[in-house]
Amino acid sequence: MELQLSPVLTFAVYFSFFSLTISLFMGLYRLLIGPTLPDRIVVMDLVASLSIGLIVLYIIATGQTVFLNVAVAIALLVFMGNVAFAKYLIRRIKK
Amino acid sequence: MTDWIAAFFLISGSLFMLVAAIGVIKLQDVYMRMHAITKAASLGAILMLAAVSLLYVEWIVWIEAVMVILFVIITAPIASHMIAKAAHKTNMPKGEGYVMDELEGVDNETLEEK
Amino acid sequence: MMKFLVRVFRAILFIPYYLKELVLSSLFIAYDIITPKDHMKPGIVEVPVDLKSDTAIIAFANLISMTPGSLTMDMSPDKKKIYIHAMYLHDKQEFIDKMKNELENKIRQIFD
Repeated sequence: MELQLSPVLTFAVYFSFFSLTISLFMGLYRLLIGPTLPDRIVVMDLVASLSIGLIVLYIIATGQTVFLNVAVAIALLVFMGNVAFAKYLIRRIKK
Repeated sequence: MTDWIAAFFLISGSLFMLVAAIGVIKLQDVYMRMHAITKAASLGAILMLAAVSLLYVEWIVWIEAVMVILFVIITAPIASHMIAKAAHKTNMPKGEGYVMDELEGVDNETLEEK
Repeated sequence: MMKFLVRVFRAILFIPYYLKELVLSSLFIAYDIITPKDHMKPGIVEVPVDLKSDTAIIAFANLISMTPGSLTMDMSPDKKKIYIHAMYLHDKQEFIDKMKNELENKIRQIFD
């Protein structure tokens, strides 16, 4: 991918893509081995932050600022997901 | 100049996220991992959004970036608080070296009432 | 009206403090994750709260989650006690005093 940016920013974008990808794989590892359900829910929170970061990088790389809407939607949805999971955990133990 | 500041924000934000991910693997129990995620990962997201609002000087970008930042700041502690409460209520195993646990045996019904 | 304006002004002053706490606590936890030797002493502490309004309590819980090494876990139904997961619990009384004196006073000035 050829970026139309200054060299500093190009380096920053590539570096951030690299480290975010590594972080995603680390989250995936915890998601696979996580002993209990809360461990996996916590990973969902991490992946939400990571995908906000990836969207930001994509915006900078392509110049399409429309994708910030996606970040808004993700930030809204993940909170709902967390609350729903917490309620589900408690309800499951009650039964 | 703007490029340098934005690059600094991008790199530090992604490093904070990387640290949070390392913490998710390394730390020993759910509560500690939640420490790493609510603090480091949300700070990383905030820094990267700050970089975007530096680079694109348009009011719609600023409004949306500020919206996401405010939302992350307000909801990240609440979400972690609810999951920690649910995890403790369902007796998830704690790690080693706990000094005290004063929540043990206390049955608070606040989550069910609402 | 004047009282409301003072409150708004204090709430605006609150934002930099909040961001400072967020950055500090992230640096703390980053340091703790990166260094191989861990000096953690986790524990769950019960801290008494005497804030009146619900907004103040929510702001207090959020601020606790953003200070270095502490995370809100639960709250008693009568809103008098709050349970905090602390990472570096060397002295219980010292921890409670820090929560009460620094954070709760800060919140009380703004929201209560």
